[in-house]
Amino acid sequence: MSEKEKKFVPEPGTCTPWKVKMEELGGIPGNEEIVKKDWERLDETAYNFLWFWVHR
Amino acid sequence: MNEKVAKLYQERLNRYMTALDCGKPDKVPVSFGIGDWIVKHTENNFQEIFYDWEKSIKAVDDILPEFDVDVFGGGPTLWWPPMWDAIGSKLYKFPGMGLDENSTFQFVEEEYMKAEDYDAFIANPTEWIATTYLPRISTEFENPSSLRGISALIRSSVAFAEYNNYMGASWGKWTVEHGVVGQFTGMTKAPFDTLGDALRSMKGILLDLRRRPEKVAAACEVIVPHNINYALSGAGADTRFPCFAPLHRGSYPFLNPYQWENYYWPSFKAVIEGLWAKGKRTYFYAEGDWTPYLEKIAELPDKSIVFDIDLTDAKKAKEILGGRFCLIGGMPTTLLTYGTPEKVKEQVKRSIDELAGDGGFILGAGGVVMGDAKKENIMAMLEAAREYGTY
Amino acid sequence: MLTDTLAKAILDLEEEQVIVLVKERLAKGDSPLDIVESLQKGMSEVGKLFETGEFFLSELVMCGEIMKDAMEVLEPHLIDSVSGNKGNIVVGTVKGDIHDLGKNIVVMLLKGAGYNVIDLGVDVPIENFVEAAKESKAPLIGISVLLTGCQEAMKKTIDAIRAEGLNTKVIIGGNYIDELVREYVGADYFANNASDGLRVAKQIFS
Repeated sequence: MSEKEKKFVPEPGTCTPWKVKMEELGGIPGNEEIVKKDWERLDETAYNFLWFWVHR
Repeated sequence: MNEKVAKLYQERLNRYMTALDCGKPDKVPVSFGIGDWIVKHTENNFQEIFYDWEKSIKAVDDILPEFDVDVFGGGPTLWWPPMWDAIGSKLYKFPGMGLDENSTFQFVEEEYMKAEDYDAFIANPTEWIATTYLPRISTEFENPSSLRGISALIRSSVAFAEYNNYMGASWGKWTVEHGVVGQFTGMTKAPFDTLGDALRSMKGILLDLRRRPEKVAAACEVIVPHNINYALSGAGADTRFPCFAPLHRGSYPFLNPYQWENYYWPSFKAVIEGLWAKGKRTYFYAEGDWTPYLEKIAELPDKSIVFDIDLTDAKKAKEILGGRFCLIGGMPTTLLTYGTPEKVKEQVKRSIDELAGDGGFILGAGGVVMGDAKKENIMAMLEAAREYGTY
Repeated sequence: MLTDTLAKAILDLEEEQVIVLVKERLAKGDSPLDIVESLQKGMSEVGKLFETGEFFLSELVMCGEIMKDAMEVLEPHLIDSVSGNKGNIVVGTVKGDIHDLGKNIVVMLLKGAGYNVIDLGVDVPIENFVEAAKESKAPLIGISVLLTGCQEAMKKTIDAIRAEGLNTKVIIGGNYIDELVREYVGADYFANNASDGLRVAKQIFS
């Protein structure tokens, strides 16, 4: 994981964008949309949690 | 929602929406929240109201039936302290935890971001917040790779989710049971305030403007898309209601005109315009005096903000912003504390005469209504609003 | 116009130049008190510009920072000297309030104007105000406040000072304060900003 971990600056609203995750995985056997939906929603919650401490 | 409440809600909603769009509703909409002045009218002390959200909700439920407001600003507490305690946050002192159980909360201002952190922040702000800032402001998260640190982060993020759910449920309940319209959804800040409040502190950022102005400008620019995103995301994509923007260092006389025009305004304007492009209005909560900047504010796209008059010259605000932006205010908070019901009523009449004119006006208190406001004065304000507020 | 280069450097908020000049004058054998006088001259000009609206809080904060740094250089040389000479003023932030910025700005301006300021800090217990007033026989006490919730504490502090029968004036200072608040807590004067405070002091000590 750590070797493969990419250097990137996450866009607003993201910490680990799904796009980056997919590049690391190189594709998944199942339906991407099913996984992506909750990944992005929870990732945005993580982002909001972090910025909460700045905006407070 | 029963039929009677549904009708009431619809009336109030129309009033608010019409005023936000600078129109003339049937009556001058009234906006008010339950501040921590309510605490002394409950059986609880500050600590109980802050920590126990059932008690906080009950305080609101008890008073809302007699509280004839169109636009409701929310319950008595801004924060739920357990979320802060869970991670050992240094940012606030709360009643009963660092402060007397009968005091309200206070912010502990420090340079939580150091001058030498600028480059790392500008390069990757979210990363910097997670790895440098959060451990620095949290006694329980000082060591992120220890059990103590990891459990603190878990506790606090669970509390964050719990709190958001509870807030959503409370608003749902108030709407359904009392027919009140929520004042805003989501929040944002001027990037200069984001940087100057919790990060560099007031003194830090004022010195930065002389010592490293280019870093201040670069950091503000980096913050812009984050503040746009934060407002929309926190609002759950709602764009009917404005997002709350509590503003601090832009008020007179913190910055000189050059600093204001070059360091405060451009990035904040970009946030407002960015939000407006997505249909989201900004609740320009102009605490303090903004009179010297009214002309600049008037450059914003029509209706993109609702301007909250605290100590800004109300007549000038009306003259310069009126017609193009909705104004809210007309009741000085000091009058709610030190005035009498008679004086409050006179003020309501005067404000409506001066400001309500052809619409685009909401009656409300400028700035934060603090714990010492008198209930009889607040009730007098709401009564007088209905008495004098029919167009 | 200021002819004193050090005072001018303060007025221009040239922080590096101020420190260089202070060190130069110490090396030349100038009396540290004379150097302080130059600093005060510059600071008093800064205060004037704030009063007339040409300077803003950002300039005052910068000036305070420069003064602090300069005083750090001077302090070891100043041990025997007395700073103020116009008279004593007791200043503190009211009990229950931990905000110090407004108070610090006033303290800086008062010191710059030549008063001997007894700074009690923030969240000051009522007894400390009374004690300091008795000890210093200060003709003026300044109470700083930001939070409106601290009204009662302010009123009690002033009541306690009056109860001692001290012949001292009390000024309350804070952004939101107005005539209503002043009357309620029983103060003699109020100020919304540092320069108003300075004017009141001038009036009392003249």
